[in-house]
Amino acid sequence: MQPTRCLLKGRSVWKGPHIVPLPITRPVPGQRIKPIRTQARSATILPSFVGLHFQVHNGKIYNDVTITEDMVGHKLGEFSTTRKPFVWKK
Amino acid sequence: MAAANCWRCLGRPSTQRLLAPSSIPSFKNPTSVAAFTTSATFLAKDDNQERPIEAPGPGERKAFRKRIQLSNDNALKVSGLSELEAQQLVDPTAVGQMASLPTGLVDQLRTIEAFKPTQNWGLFRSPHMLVRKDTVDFLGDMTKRIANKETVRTVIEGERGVGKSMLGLQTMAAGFMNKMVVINIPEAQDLVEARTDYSYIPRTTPEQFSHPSYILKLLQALRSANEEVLSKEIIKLEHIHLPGNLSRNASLATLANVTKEPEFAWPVFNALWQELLQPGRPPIMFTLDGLSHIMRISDYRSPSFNLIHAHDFALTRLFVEALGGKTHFPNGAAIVGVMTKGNWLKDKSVEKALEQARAAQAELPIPERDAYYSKYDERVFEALKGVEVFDVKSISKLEARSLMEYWAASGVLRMRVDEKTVSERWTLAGNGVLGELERVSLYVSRL
Amino acid sequence: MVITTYDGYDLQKTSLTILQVFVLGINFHPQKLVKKTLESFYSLGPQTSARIMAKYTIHPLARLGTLPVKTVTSLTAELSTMTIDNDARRIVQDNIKRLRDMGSYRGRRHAMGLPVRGQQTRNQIVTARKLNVLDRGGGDRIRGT
Repeated sequence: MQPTRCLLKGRSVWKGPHIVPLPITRPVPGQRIKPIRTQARSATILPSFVGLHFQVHNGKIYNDVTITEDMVGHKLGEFSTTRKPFVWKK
Repeated sequence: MAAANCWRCLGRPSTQRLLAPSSIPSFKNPTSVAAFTTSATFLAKDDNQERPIEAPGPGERKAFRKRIQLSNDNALKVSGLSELEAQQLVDPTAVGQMASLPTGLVDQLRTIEAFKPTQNWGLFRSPHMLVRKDTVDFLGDMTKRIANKETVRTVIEGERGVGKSMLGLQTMAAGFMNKMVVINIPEAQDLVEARTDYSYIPRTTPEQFSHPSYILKLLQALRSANEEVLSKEIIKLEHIHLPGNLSRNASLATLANVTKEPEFAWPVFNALWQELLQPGRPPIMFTLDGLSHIMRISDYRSPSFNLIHAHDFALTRLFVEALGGKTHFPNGAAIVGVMTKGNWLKDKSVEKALEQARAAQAELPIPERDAYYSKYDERVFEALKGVEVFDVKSISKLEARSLMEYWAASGVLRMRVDEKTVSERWTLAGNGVLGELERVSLYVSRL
Repeated sequence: MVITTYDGYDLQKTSLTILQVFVLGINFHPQKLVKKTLESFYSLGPQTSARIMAKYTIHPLARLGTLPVKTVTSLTAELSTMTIDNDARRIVQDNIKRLRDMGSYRGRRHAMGLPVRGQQTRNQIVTARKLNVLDRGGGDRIRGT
């Protein structure tokens, strides 16, 4: 299996992973950068994202997501839940 | 051994039972039961409460299904019938006679499992058989040719219930009485249905397989049934690879008895077969019932997970090579394959091969294969090359009468046997199909 | 006199001589089918067990008590090279745990015991309740079965 295959997650090879242009800036050492605020929930997490902070829209608010190595190949939206947990009213 | 009555608890109630004919005393009204039966009062008391029925133990159902009862004390003794002799089976004047089987012969036949559970032996006091025209035709020709050290390769064919297996039984009986070595595979289905163990025979290419426990059982049956013939023959070949010590002038019976391990069953069987092929031995009779079953791909799998063809099993291969004429028998042999119709996988290759064999026998033009059917099995044609096909036909009214008189004398057929009734039953039975005749006459009184 | 013959049923005989059969250190009843024995290991199904049995020329209806000791030993050897039972279970559980640890939606649904792949949850989620759990594959084998 090719190493990039895990980015596809079922998409056909000729399409490649779903890449969305995001305003990514490499952090300069010693300088704190602002999280990347985005509504592109369907963007595939690329290996270059590892360690970055994102704020992913869930339809209402922006949730903080820190990218780890495990997350590569998943979509940004998977880590920002859109549903409110059901609580029985008292 | 359980008494016959006890086995009745296991059987399903037949429709005859449910209809409660007047001949069978009903349990519900004990007044109709004979006064001396102590069980009548017992049953009457228990009438209201249901007695628990014990479930049969493991294997009992199968044992009940497969049991063969060769005598029945409740049946009347039929006197005045002679014991079967070898001459009677080949004598055209003996057609239509009933003859009883000698006790020794019955033991031999039972050992090699020549009797079938479907043949209703349990209705009679002792086993008798009808010498029919087909018997005399087939066995007369066979005996003559074996005496000339020829090899008879025959497939017994015929309609369902016409008596193919019975003719096989009579063939074996003739084999025993003529001092042949009789080997019988009672049910070819057992060899291909993946119900008994199998193993790879080392150093064989293409790979071959054996049925260790089955062959061991066969070997033991073969030895005890043919002991008289085998114990007179002395070993001629060297058998170094076999287990146990065989002395120089050991008999073939000793050879057959040399192992009790399934692992060595095939080598010993093969050694015995090679010995029997030596010149100067008694002729061999190799019969197999259910021939069409070994003409297909079996349900067993090879270590590489491919289905094994039935001809790749050592035992069937031995039979098939003998039937196809590849084995040379210097002492004469009868290789008889009996077809089965009751339990039959239709196979176009077998049908076509038999059709061709039949045409060759009648010296007619050989029918071509169907050009639009691609799944013909070449090995089947190879196996049935040059065989004779013997068609078992219906019995005549004369034979039917003799049979029905025997049934009446045994007390299972309660009617006058005269020309009219014989003719009626004979017609009802599809113009003398033996199995059907039995059905219309005997099943009323069957369990 | 009633003459009766029975077709061979000699399993009871074998079970008298061998009381238990050990496959991979687990004891089984000698009457147990080899197929069922193999399939009692997690991750072995009908396909794999059929292939293993064909490899050692064991017929589908064979019972453990009828196998030669040699075959049982080689079966154990074969099984010890395969990823079965707890090893196989751990692979599945690790995959679910990974999803849970990185906080993805699928991991969360597993933890809640709800359908993972967008099915409706209004009715009928019995299968999800049964299967979508963090320690999937059940517990250890019950000994002596």
